[in-house]
This record gives sequence, C-alpha cells and structure tokens, in this order.
Amino acid sequence: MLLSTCSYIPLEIPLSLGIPAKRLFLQGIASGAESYVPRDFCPYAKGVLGYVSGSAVRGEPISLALAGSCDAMRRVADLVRLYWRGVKAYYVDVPRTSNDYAVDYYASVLREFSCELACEACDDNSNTLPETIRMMNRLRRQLGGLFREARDSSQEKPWTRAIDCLLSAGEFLGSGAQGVAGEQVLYLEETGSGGKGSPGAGNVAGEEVPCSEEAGFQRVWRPSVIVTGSMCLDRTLTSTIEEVGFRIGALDSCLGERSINFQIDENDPDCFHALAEGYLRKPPCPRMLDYGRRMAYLDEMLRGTDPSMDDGPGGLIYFVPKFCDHGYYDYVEVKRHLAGSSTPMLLLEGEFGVGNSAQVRTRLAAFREMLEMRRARVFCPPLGDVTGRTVRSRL
Amino acid sequence: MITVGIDSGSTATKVAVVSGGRILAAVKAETGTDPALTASLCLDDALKSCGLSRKDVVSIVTTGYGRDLIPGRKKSVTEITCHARGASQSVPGAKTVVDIGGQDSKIIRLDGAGLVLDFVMNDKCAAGTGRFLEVMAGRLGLDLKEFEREWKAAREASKISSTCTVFAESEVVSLISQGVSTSSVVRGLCDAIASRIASMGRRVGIERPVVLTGGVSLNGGVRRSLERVLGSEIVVPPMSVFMGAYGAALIAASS
Amino acid sequence: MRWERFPAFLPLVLKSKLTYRVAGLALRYLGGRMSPYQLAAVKGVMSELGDAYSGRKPVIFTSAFVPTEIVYGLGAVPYLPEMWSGFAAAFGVSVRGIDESEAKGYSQDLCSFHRCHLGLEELSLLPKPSAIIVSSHLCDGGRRSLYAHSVSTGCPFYVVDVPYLMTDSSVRWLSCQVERICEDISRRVPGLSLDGMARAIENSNRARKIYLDVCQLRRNKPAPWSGSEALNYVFAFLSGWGSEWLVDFYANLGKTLKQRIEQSNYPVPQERLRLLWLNLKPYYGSPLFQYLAQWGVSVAFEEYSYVYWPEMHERRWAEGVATKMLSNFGWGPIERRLDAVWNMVNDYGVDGVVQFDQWGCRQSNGGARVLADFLREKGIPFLELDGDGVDPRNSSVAQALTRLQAFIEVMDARG
Repeated sequence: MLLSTCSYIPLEIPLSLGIPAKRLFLQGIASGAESYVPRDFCPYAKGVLGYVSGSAVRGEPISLALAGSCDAMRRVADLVRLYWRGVKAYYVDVPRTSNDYAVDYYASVLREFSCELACEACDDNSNTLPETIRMMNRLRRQLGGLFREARDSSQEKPWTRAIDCLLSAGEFLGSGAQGVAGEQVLYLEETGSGGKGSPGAGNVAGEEVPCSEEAGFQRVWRPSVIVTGSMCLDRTLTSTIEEVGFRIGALDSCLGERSINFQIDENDPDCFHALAEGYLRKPPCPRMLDYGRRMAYLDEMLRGTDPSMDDGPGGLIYFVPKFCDHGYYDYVEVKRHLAGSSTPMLLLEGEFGVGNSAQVRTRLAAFREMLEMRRARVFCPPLGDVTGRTVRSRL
Repeated sequence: MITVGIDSGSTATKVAVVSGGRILAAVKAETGTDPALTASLCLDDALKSCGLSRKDVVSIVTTGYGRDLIPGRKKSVTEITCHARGASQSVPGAKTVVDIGGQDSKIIRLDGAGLVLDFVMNDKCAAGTGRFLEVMAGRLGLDLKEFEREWKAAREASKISSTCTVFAESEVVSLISQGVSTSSVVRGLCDAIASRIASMGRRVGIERPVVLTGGVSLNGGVRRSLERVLGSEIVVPPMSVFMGAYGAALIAASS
Repeated sequence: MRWERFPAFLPLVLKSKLTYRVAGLALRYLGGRMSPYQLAAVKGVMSELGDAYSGRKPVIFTSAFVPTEIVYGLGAVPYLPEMWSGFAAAFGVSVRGIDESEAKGYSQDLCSFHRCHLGLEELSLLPKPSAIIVSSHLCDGGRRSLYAHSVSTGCPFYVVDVPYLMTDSSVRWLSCQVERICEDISRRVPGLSLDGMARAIENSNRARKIYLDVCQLRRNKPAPWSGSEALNYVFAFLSGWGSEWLVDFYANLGKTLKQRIEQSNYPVPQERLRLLWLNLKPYYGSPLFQYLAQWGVSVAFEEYSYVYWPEMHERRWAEGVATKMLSNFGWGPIERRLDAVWNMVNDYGVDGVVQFDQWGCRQSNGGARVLADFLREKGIPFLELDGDGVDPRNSSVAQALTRLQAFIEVMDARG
C-alpha cells in the first residue's frame, strides 16, 4: 500500500497501476518518533515517523509518497529514507506556485513518479489512468455532495460524519478496492453504514437529534462557523466544535473540503498535465505561496456560507497544529484580511486529540458565548457596590 | 432572588451567593481532588453564613475547569464570559479584563457595555500564571502576600529575562547566589510576568479602564508592575478573586 | 499607550541623511582603529544603508538564500530582514521587536529571527521596499514573514519556486523564473534595469575566487580568524554577492589573515581544539565564545561560510543564479548537507562539530539526528546546543555553558 502525506500528490497514479493508496491521516503519535526529530516538530510530522516506525516493527510492507510540504516534512522524508530502508519512500516535488510553468514542471515530476511506481509494480498505466481519473472525479463529487449536505443538515454532528465518510473512502482506496470506492460512498450515503475503520461513522443523514420543545429540549441557537487552518489533525476538533453548538459552514482542511472540492480535466489528452493542473489549482493550502488565491478562496467560503443568514453572526475558527509554521503565519494573514469585516475569529492550536482538551473546549464555549452575547446584546447596567462578606471555608 | 455562582478553578473553588447584584457571601477553598464535593461544601458554608438554605436558591450557574462536574447547576458558562460579566458590573465601562489564575491567564476585551469583543488565553506553559509566581516565591522563601512589600522596597528591578518557569527559576538561583537583594528579584519577577501579560494582551488590544481579577489580583507587586508596563492604572475591584463566581451568579439571575 | 522605554528617535536617525554623512566623517577619522577588512565592510554597509533609508536607490527585500547578484544586477540595494534581526539583537532592540510581532499575533513557536524583523517593521525601523523576492527553498518562515512585509507595504511580491533536485528540467524552470522575475521588476520599479547583471556576476565571481583563498588561510592551525567574528560577518556572506564592496572586504580579510599567520597573532593562541559551527549564534551579548577561547577552543569554520556553488557565466546569469540556488547543500536530500559538513570537517581539521539549534529553525534542527549519527560513525563528536540567536529570554546561558564545557571534556577525554 502507498501512503501519501500530502493532498497535492495525486492518488490516481498509484491506483491506476493497481497499487492500493490513500492519504495518511493519523489518530495520534505512535512511540518511536521522539528520538529522531526535535521537540518543535509538528504533530503530523512526528506522527508520520511514529507510523513508519510502528509498521516496521509489525513487519507491514508500506510505501510512502512524501512531499516537501514544509521544512519538517522535508526532514521526515530524509529520516524515512535513511532509517527505515525497508520502507520505499518516494519524494514528490510539489511546486509551491500554480502558474502554467509550475504546472508544466509538476507534470514532468508526476510522469517520473508514475514511471518509478510502474517499474516497482511491473505494470503500465497508459490505459488505466484516464479511467482512474474519472473514478476519482466521481468519488470527489460524491464526497463533495456529502459535505454540502452536512452544511445544511440540522442533524447531530453532520461534519464529523462527513469526515468519517472521507476517511472510509480512503480506507476503501487503501484496501485495493478502488474500483468500487465511489459505489461504497454512495452506499454509505444511502444506508448510513459507517464502513470499517470509521469509529462511530454513519452517513450525514444520521439519526435525528430531538430538538423540539415538546420533546423537552429547547431549540438551541447554533452560530455558523468556517473552520480553516493548515491541517485539522483528526476528527476530534470538528466533533467538539459541533458538540459545543456550532454549525460548521465550511471545513477548509485536507481532512475536509480541500481534498475534494476540485475536478481533473477528463478531456485533456495529457493525463499528467491534467493531474498537475487540477491538483496545483485545487483549493489552496497555506503551504502554497499563492497567497492571493488563498484569501480569494476564503472570501468565497465566507460568501458561500453566509454566516449572517439565519443563525445570526457567525465566525471563523482557525486551527494550527502546534509548531506548524505555515499555520501560524497564515493565521495572522487571515486575521489581517478579515480585519475590516465583522467576522470574529478564534485561534486554536494543539496536537492530536485536540478536541478532547479541556482548554480547547473552554475556548470554543467562550467563543460561542461571545457570539451569543453579540447576537442578544446581553449586558447589565452597573450596580456600583457589589461587596458582601467573605466567609472562611471549613475546607 | 438568590442566585449562586460557582467557579470551580484548577487551583481554587470560589462560590458567590448574590441577590440584587450584591454579593451576600463568598467562600473560597482549594479545589482538591473532588471538585463536586468541594463546591457543595463551599456552597453550604456560604448559604449558612447568611442564614439561607439551598431551597432559597433560585438558580446556580457554574464556571471554571470543573464547571461541568458540579451537580445541581442550571447551566455552565465559561470563565471568560463570567469574568467579563462580573468585572463589567463591578467597574462600569470596563474595557479590558486581565484575569490571572492559578494555571492560566486570560485577557478579555469588552466594548464598555459588557459585550465581549475578543479574548486571548495563555498556552499550556505556566508563564504568566499564578503557578509561576508560586514556584518563584517558594524559591525565594517568601509568602506571596509579601510580594508587594518587597516590590516597594526594591530600588531597582533585577533583569529576569525569561518567563519560562524553569529558566526563570535558574535565573533567580543565580541572582540570589550573586547576592542580589530579594526585593530586587521580586520586582524583576513581577516585571517579567507583567511583560508576558502585556505582550499577550496586545494581541487583542488593551484599552482603559483595565480591570485585574483572579487570584493574582491580590498580589500588589504584579499589579504595580502591570501598571508600569501598560502605562495605565489598573483597577482591582473589591472581591476581585470572586469575579468569576460573581459573574456566574449574575448570569444565573438573568437567564 | 506607553509600553516600555524605546529609543523613539531611532527611526528618524536611520532615515536622516545627516546620520550617514556623520558616519562617513567618523569613519574617515576613526577608521584607522579598525582592520582594513572591517572598514571595507562597514563602509559598504553604511553606504547601502544610506541609499536604502534615504530612498536614493530602490530597496529589494529578499529571503536569506536568494542570490543577491540579481538585486545588485538590477541596480537596487538588497535588504535581508532576517540579517537585520541579528543586528537588532546586537544593538539591544530585538526583544522589543519580538514583543511587537507577538502583539500582532505571531506565535512564540516561530523562529525569532523572523518574528523580530516583523516587529522591527512595526517600529518603523525597516526601509520601504520597492519589491520583495523570496525563494521557496530552505526556510518556510523566511518567505512567509516577507510576504507579511509585502502586504503591509503594498509592494510587489515575487516567489522563486525552487525545485528539489538539480536536473536539466529544474535548472530550465528555475532560470526561466529568475529571468521573468527580474524582467518584471525592471519594468515595474523605476530606476532599475537588467544592464548591470553581467557586472554583478563578474563581481560575484571575483569575490568568490578571493574568498576561496581566504578559506585556504582559515585552514591554518591555530585558526587565524575568530569564529565568533566570522559569524558576525555572515551578513556579508549572505548579502554582499554581486557588490563591489564584498570584493574589497575579502581581499582585505585575506591580507589580514596572512599577516596574522606570518606574525603568529591568533585569536586563540593556545589552541587545543577546533570546532566547526553549524547554523547561527546568539547575536546579543553572550559569553559562549569567550568561554570557548578561555578553554583553548577555537571555532575554525562555520557552515554559513561555505562556498557551495560553481562560478557563474556572466551572460547566462539567470542559469548561473538558478544553479547557485539548486546547489545549496541545505536544500535537496540531507546527504548533500552531510557531504558539505564532512568536507568542512576535513578541510579545517576540526575535532568536533557544534550545531546551534536556533529555536524554530526546523530545516536545520530537523537534520540533527542524521548529522549526529553520521559524525559519530566517523568518530567526530557532535553537540546540539539549544538556543536563540536574537531572543535572550528564550534560553539559559548557564545551561548552554554546562553543555559546551561537558562537550569539551568529552573531546579532551578522547585525547
């Protein structure tokens, strides 16, 4: 199986050669990485090394497709190559710009990547690549549909469920059943089955949450938020955001819409050019140096979700994995970009399992209370002297 | 109408019994290992001291890290909203609330009418929290209450460049061994914590009036250093330690 | 609102033409007290600062590893904000700069060199750039922080997207980018043109040739140049290529080192051990190097003084610049850095290698494990020294000294 560490690496190439492949999303940092990298490496970089180390211990045959996503991942690529010689590591040189010249260069890189994989697999993908591109386009459309559905859903945790579907689709691709991956997603959508390896997954149209006042529940106000950042590490963040009572309007992360909101041109006679163009011009990640495109995409998300529509003023939640340079810088740019608007912004940073942190939950709850106060303009007139007696506790 | 606010903090639990916007009684105790039990005992003590019982309480709102562990609450609200509410009630027109607690510190920007505009909290590091001061006081063999006296006695502040608790502790040890006076070290420590808070606060923009709440608000040394670093007078409202619990009780009354 | 004392007159001083006139006069009278190479560097920098702050010449900000030949070739003044963070630390204003950037929302977990210059802009201590050029290789923070300057100053921002490996297609793509960027700048910024490119490349090649002779002299035992001072002049190595003054600087440095060797006048006369220093150093007053000298240890050479690129063709300047960027040993697979370090270890006959782990410098620190294992296998002791080049609050001197001393003891024990 080939695991990709960057959503700019087209899975179409290994899949068309019959190599099971998926994007490597992790749930934590397995031990074994600490002694190889400095303490100020991001959790994903450490997690990838931990995963590789664990697979080597278990004797699982894996290949990795690594990109120079950041300085840390560049070093992770070096470490994997030098310390885990049993793991086949491919370095895919993903440009940081997306103009025509960059697309041409990336097409040549992908052609070479494909040759290397074909050599390894003793196969040829000249006939199967167009077909795989069509399959992946279809899969992206279907997953995109699920995320759109989540946006309008009033059900319980629709976005966390959509992420589970995305992870499940990855599991199918990684299991070698790529030919039916699209059908599997449809199956998820129709039956609400989570599929294997997706904890608590159901479909987006999951069980109805009782919210009528007759049922003893007050209808809760759910401000809409856009979640963005360099990378949402795992599903705990969206899960907690939804639990705290937000309605997610867009999830701009590779574990989210950034991996699915694009299509590859099926009519381009040069498949590698089509892949290079499609991937480089997909919704931009902060690692790219096309900053204008990033802000334009953000504006588009804000317009698309219309946070002021029905649920009152919304906001933007920015998540940065600890020690992620791209995220920290991008956060300030986004903040500056939104300075003129009335969109409030919350910065969260953390490691895997960030949603389970009490501090993060407090910040989210406070952010929600802040939006609620703004909506209701709740305040009380001053009362002057408030003092009373202080009693010594018997404790 | 009697309402109660319970602030179950990581270090201390504070309970405020409030009626008509006035605190009738307030109790503080170490949270310990059972936040629910501590809160319950504190509540009983507070009610008993003003001749009330639990039946008289219309509503309880909880806040602090243990807010969801306290039974009998009407709802739980975060410390940010509660401190903002309590402080803006106590200091009319407050625009900034600096809350320095045992394990974390927060800076809350208000619009002057009680509305939270933005907030910022420290990260996991103990820099700029009560814990930092506690460790340093321990190293100097001082009681935290003595900080203001030492601050006043200092002719100049020692340069303590680090706010990292570990590095700062080693700097303090080094200063003591060089024979630097305790008062000068205390002032240096207060300046270091104040710089950290000021730097954090500038992310949300600090505006007057600035209100200081939380356990560290009683530390006159830190207050004076903050005033110097921010170039602004700091208001410490009466019962500033109970501001979170007071805010929670006010929210209980209005919801 | 007043935060803390800051020399508010400093921006005015920097921008006043009078400052540079006075400095010029002072150099005329006091320059005799300096070594000729120091004087050459100071004169070069002062003249460029005068041009930059007074607006006499357009200023182009670049990230640290963009070849400055193209900036001189265009007729502009190169300004490397990261380098000026080091100067800010030396002049005691880096902490203020860092605090300013944190107030803007930049995280403490970012490299302080970048945070500092972002804050220096807030304090009006940077000149106004006419354009900004960054490269995508080596350092994420460098390009991102310079983008922030381009947003706040509204000047055009150019990205040189550097491919990972040196291949025909990567050299082609990169030279094409360099050429297009320079053409565009020459069209957009008044007063700039491509006419000076050949001259800048010629200067760069001359300086390189002279500098290689300087490197030969630095192989001498004891070391003729103090590593601490050499690390101060990293600014010349990063920002002077293509200028006339760099040629002068290296020529004079060569003469001085030759004299020192002839007269046995060494910074550490009783040299017992020699070190290779990787990455930068603390630029605020730090006693580390004084202690090393006391212990009879000299820093014989530094990673950032290593010439890694071939001579450039004067007419095919874009290709030369592209090749220089692609040759950077910090870019591409880490084996390239290992090779460069091993060359330096052998060329300068060092007994041990110290890597200064600058806080937040993930490209350098991330290679430490590989370097440690590589050098251990070769029998060369290696030390990772945690620290911060511009923020004195972020490390403990006592801790650093203990580590260094223990490292020296280990080397001594090995005989």
